[in-house]
Amino acid sequence: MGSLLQLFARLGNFLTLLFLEGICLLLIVQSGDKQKDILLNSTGILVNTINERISNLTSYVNLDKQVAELKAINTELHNARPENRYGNKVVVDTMGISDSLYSYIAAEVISRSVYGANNTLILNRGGAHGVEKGMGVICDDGVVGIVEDTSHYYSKVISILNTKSRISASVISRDTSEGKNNDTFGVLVWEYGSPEFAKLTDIPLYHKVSPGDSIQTSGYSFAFPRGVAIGKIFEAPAPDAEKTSMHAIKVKLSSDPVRVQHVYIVKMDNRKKTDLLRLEHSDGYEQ
Amino acid sequence: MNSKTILSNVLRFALLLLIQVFILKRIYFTLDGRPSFQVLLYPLFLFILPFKTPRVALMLLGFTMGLLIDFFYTPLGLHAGALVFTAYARHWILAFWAPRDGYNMNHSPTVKRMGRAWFLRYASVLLFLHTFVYFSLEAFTFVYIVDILWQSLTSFAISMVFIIIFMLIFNPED
Repeated sequence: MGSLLQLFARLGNFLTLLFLEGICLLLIVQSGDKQKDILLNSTGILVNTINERISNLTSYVNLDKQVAELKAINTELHNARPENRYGNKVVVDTMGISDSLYSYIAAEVISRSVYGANNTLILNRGGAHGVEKGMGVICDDGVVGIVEDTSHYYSKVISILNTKSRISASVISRDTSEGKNNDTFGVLVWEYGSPEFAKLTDIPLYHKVSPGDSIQTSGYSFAFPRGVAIGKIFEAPAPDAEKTSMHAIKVKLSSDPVRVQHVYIVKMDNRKKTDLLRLEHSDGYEQ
Repeated sequence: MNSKTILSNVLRFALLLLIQVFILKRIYFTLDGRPSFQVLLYPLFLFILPFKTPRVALMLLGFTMGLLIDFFYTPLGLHAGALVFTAYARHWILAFWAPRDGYNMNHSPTVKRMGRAWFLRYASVLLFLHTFVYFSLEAFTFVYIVDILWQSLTSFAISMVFIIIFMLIFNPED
């Protein structure tokens, strides 16, 4: 109590000043139209600035949620792309055939092995979400890999940077007038080495290719729809025709499995897949 | 502080209030529709209160005087706000120009007690402070700082003339 009195003795004058000036300001603002307007304007500006700061802060806090929403929208967009449709527009849909051929499951890379010979990724989606062995995995930049194994909640992906990886790829030439064929296809493999490059094999020599041609998925497997980017031809050295009949093409990969975080698992419609499998495996002599 | 001092101060309070609101309020020049200066004589009451008046009492008296004047002006609180600040600042100015052996606490800072030169300095600084705070509160923003300064200066000059006239006529001792 004593110290409180001392404090007041020291600051009493100043506190009285503040108190009386406070009353005066209140009176001025209450009775003066001009002063009232100025005050309301200034506080308005102040409040807006503070609100903006707060919303900037909270937008960081909500970032996870926003990423999730964006991924959901991205998945929708992927599903809507025409090459992922079975395309039964001609047929009147009386049999209830869905025209969805490929759909996508958004997933997150939760761990990965890189810089080895057999690189894999672990995704946070598994059998419980409909992921199955053999499904393709892509990201916004291109192909990432193929699902090798699934558990209930997680799945293991053979990265495109894995010596076991085999991906059916086609070369899209920029110019078809010089005898270049734009439906050539081969197999993309990776040899232990730089994570930026892969090798495209099984392209016959009589198909001319040149650096800069883009490499896409061929669509000849269940894993990927046609036309997903893989990369570009980096160099295609003129081979010795007597020793080999195939090109040795070095491909610069467009995706980066070393850093990719948000991926999509490609899921082919199950009924169409089994239907196609049955057709491919039938020997034609049944019935 | 004897009863004569109290009486003369009470009378001065009433007189300055009446002069301000009935005579000086009518003297102003308009420029672009707004008064360009005002004659403010009433702060003189605070200037020549006795040295030993406590600072809090000064502020309360200033608040009362300002509020009474405000009833005749709009908006309410302008003169009170300026005068409370002037009352608070009086202590600094007195401390700044204190004589070597201090003030005689029973006296008041008047021309008769302190001399013409001292009083002119003392009243000028306080009056300019008062007009500046007054016009700042009136504008309520420092966006128009040039206008504020111009109005303060002209009002200060005119008001100072009136203060000198008042002191010449009455020449109070305390």
